[in-house]
Amino acid sequence: MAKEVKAKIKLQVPGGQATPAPPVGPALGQHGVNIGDFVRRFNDETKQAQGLTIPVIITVYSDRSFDYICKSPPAAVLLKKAAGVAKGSPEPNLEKVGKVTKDQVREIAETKMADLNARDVDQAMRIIEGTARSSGIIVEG
Amino acid sequence: MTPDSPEAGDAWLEVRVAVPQAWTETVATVLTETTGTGSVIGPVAEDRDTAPDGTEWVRTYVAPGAEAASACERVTRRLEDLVAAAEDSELAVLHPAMRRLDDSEWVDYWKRFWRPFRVRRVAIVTPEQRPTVALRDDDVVLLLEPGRAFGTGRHATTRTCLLALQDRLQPNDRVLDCGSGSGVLSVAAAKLGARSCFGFDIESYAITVAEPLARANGVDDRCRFVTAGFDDVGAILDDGDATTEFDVVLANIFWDVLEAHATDIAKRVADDGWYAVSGCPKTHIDRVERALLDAGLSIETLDVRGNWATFLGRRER
Repeated sequence: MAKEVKAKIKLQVPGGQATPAPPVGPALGQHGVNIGDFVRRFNDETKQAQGLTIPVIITVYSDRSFDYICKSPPAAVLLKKAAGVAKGSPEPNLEKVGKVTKDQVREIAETKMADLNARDVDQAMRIIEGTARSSGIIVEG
Repeated sequence: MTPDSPEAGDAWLEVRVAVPQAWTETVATVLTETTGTGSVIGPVAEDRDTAPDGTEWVRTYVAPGAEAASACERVTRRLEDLVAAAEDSELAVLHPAMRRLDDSEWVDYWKRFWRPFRVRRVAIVTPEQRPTVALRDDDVVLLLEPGRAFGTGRHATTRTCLLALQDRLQPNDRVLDCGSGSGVLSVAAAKLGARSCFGFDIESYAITVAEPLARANGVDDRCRFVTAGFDDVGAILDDGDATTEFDVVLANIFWDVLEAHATDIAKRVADDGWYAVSGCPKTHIDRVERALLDAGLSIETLDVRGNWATFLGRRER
């Protein structure tokens, strides 16, 4: 028989760097989840993506056991990858750090449609473009 | 956009902001990258109010310390930049509210759900629970204050090490605990009769948990903890060129560290001593096994529980 789902927790955590401190501690602790077990499994699984922001959804069951899945990287991370930059601009309005094309924005928007809860691709693209501008990445075309 | 001023101090700060649904992931990433700690999308138990219609709460946390105030300023500025850059009428404003996070909102969660448990003769209880737990004469009681600590003994890898200690530890053994974390294995070994335990961990927080644990259990005179990794622990342990060996070498750490440092583990195992290497996921047994054998360690037992494996053995001469 399938176990009863008690809660779903949506987190973003730097890869390989989860700790029992906030946000993981409070988010999981409120449901009585074994925090150490999650931290250990997550860090082990995401070791190769050290420090990269990773969205993760944790499903907590009524017996306090849990499962989790790591989702595709956030749009801001995909944008930086597409622009070939390591990090966003500290002064996004003044200092531009890279460029992406409209096609790249569309591709990221399509990849992230479901995670963004966007109504359609146009809205997803607007979000991706805004995210790009706020990171100092120019959208061409 | 002016955040509610948080009280400065030594507590964690929570930054909470109501975000239109389609923007939650992006805002969460901005917050995660600004504070470096991570973010949560959606409600938590402490919320007394629900997020306004069409929005969800997104929150991040700022660690206590001298950098806290500037981190809060950076969060505010990054959110302002995002709103300005978004050019989306749905994201007209992001108003971050900041407040102190009480220990009761996270550290104490553990106590609510914590139940005493035992690993054969070792009974792990909190100080408050001790009077209520039925104990046998030969039980070894380990008093644990669950909280921020890793390594509470419940994890499969810690359990197998605790069992190995009960099976194999001899009175007066000297124990090396590589990646000692909360210190639970060292303290258990001392309570089971070890003459001395030396624990090292690369994480500086570990010592702040391990030393009080040893004191609470009355074995602080036999347990020593230092902040060090495999590469620099030799400077503390060794006298000149002579390598200090131990009767028992424990390493309950990540598999890739085990693989990379198998020779560092092997050289510490005394002639008639033994080792327990734990923390290896089932999927990486082959790699760790190969590294241990190449380092000159024999494998007497491979104990697989759930997803985790523990190797027990000796040093080949």
